[in-house]
Amino acid sequence: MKKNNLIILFSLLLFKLSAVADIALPKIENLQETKYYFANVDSFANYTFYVKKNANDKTYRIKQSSAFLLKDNSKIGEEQIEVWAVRNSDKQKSNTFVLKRVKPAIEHGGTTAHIAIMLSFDKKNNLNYKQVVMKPECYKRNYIVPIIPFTFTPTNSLLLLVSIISMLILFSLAIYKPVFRRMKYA
Amino acid sequence: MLKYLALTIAIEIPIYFLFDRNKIAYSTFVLILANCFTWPIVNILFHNTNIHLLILESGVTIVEAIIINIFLQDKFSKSLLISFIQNSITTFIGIWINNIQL
Repeated sequence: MKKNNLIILFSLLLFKLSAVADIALPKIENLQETKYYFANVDSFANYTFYVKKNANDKTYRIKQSSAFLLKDNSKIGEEQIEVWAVRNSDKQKSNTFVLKRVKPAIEHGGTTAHIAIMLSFDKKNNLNYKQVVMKPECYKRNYIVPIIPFTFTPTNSLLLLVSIISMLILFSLAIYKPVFRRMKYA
Repeated sequence: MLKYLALTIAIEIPIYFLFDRNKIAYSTFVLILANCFTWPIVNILFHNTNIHLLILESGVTIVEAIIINIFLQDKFSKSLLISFIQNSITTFIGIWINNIQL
């Protein structure tokens, strides 16, 4: 009787082990190098958009047609970018969405998928986006990856011009000031 | 936007003349240039970066003190005092007018 029990127990154990062995390991997702382009940033003058890259932990202020490349980076795990907006009037931060590398597809063409992100806001002011796969004639143009998180709007440019002109006049004054003093004491 | 620059100049120049009333035209000219140099940079940095306003204003105070020292005053400590008082007043008026949260 005891022998029978042992056989049943052994059979059950064997069944359990084989059942576990049959469960497939989680499949490693094969993802493609992906370049994201922000296509319509200029359409939202009231907002400033930011991107945070987890690869270097840096935050960039994005401008029209900024591009971010996501590569296979096993050191940090899955490379991704976080995108959010800040309303200029009250500095209120929107929701954040995350962009990761995409699965390979025929329409992506070569080794890198080029995807345009079309930003939008819904009625509740939530930041949304749509992805559009770009054609080679679109993405082969030179796009800018922001290094300095700065956008020179026309107002900023005017202010900078005022500042530069004032600085130049001050420098000129500083150079000629000793001459004036000499003339005064002569 | 430039009205705030005009307001800043209108406040800072009389404060300067509380300390020194020599060469009024020249002093006014230098102070206008000093403000036209620093004010745009502060505003660009304030609206485009996360640098705290008081840090930016500290920088402005030092730069304006240097300008006052080069063109108008002989003692740097006096220049710094004048610049500090000028910028403290304009900063807090700016915070009050624009409801800026520090």
